[in-house]
Amino acid sequence: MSTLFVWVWIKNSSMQNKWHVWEQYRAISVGLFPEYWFFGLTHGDGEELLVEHPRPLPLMVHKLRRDADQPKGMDEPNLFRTNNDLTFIWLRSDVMLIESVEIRPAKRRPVPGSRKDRKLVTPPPREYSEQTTWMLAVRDKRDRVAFVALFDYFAPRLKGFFMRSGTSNGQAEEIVQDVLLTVWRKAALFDPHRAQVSAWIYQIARNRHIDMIRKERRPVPEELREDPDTEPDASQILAVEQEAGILNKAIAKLKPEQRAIIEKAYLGELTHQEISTQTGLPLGTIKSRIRLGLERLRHDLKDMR
Amino acid sequence: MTAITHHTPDAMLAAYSSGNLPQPYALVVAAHISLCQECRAALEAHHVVGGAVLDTVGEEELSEGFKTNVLALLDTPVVPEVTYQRSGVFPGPVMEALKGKPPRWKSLGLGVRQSILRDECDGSVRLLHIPPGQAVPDHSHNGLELTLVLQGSFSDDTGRFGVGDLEIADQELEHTPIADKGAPCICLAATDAPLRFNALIPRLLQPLFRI
Repeated sequence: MSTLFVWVWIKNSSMQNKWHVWEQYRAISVGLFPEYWFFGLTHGDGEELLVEHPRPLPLMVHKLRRDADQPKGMDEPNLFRTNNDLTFIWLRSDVMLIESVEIRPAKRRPVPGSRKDRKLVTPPPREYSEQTTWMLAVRDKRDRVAFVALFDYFAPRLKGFFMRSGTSNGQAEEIVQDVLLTVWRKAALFDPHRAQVSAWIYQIARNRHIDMIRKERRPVPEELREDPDTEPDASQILAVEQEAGILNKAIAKLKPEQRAIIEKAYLGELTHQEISTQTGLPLGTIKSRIRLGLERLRHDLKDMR
Repeated sequence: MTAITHHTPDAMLAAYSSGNLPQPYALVVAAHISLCQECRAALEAHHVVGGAVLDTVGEEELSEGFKTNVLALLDTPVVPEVTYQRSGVFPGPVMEALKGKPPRWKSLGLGVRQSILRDECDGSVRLLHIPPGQAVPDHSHNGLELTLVLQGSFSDDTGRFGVGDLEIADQELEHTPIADKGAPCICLAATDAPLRFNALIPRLLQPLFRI
């Protein structure tokens, strides 16, 4: 196996949003999946990282284990820990691997800990997706043009979604109307740090659909409201979008039978017993992959508990 | 607060996310998610998959005038929905089921009390109040039983369940949950079928108490 070197870049607030090389890691194992590369990385001091590389998107760094007694340096990212090596834990979103992987012989590897290779860089420009931009304009500015854009994107899809689950043409439009008006009215609850637009609308769509069928409100968890003074954290928002993008691609690559099962499950056509006995449903993968909201939630809930 | 160690299984979260979990279970799962950020994150992950399905499932043409109608409704004033917040040990979804009022406890004997939140053909969901050291009568289940601890803790053959822990018991499990020492144990329990008690007396009382 060739030796891979991976540079981890972090954003250092004391350097006005500049990014610098935090450390260079040597890859110890590489798993190739159709859509991702997983790197097990070692730093030579007991620290291990796992990096997922969804090309051509920026890399995300995952931490698997860190020695408990290792002192934390000032510029080290604040990392999660887990005792379960198989669980992927997302790092703080300000830790992002943004440079490419380089393959070169091991002997040319710099001494671990040497920071000579550190240099200041400016991160490449990144932008929110159209949907997020529209949704934020609706939320923050009550922007009707942005709402029309959301409508044009989601209304035909929502109608397709409801008709796939056996709803008549007329009733489907009735629910679509209800869902989109809910999007407009409850826009304040949209938190791009935790939810990507399609996911947020999906959840509203399922709730409204069920409420209409059952004629009673479906129990929903308590809402977590974002503190209105929270500064938007662009890297977290982008990471949420990126995560959803990876997942979309992963689903697109599934075998048709597997895709059909996913669709059936999320259209609400399978009971939980059916879902748990479906061997073709890569739920474990989904669960281990999407841990993005977790740290945000930990942060949000800290004061509530 | 000790960490939650018994979580909502993934298949159940997927069914909840897609809206295909019977109402009594959905209430317990919603209450658990209100207490458990891990399951909330996992649920939000399922929404992402749902969003991906929504993105790709295919478009249907809208009827003429539909868009104009919807846009015309944007300014219609609406009465905001009542939302229920956590009160005491009861998370928002439980407060909603209680319609914002305190539970109306009914004695089941031996200090055990219950407050039925819902009892319909698709199952029932209730609050149980069990004094410390007291056992819930030995029972097995006709269907699936979900029990979420809201206060105190209980232990049975499968382990210890503290605040926020969710126990899932199916037909195979015959268990005797006993409330641990300390505060009385308050649980939210949902079944899709009546419980079966093994001792004769509770079984005779069963129709009376709807347990």
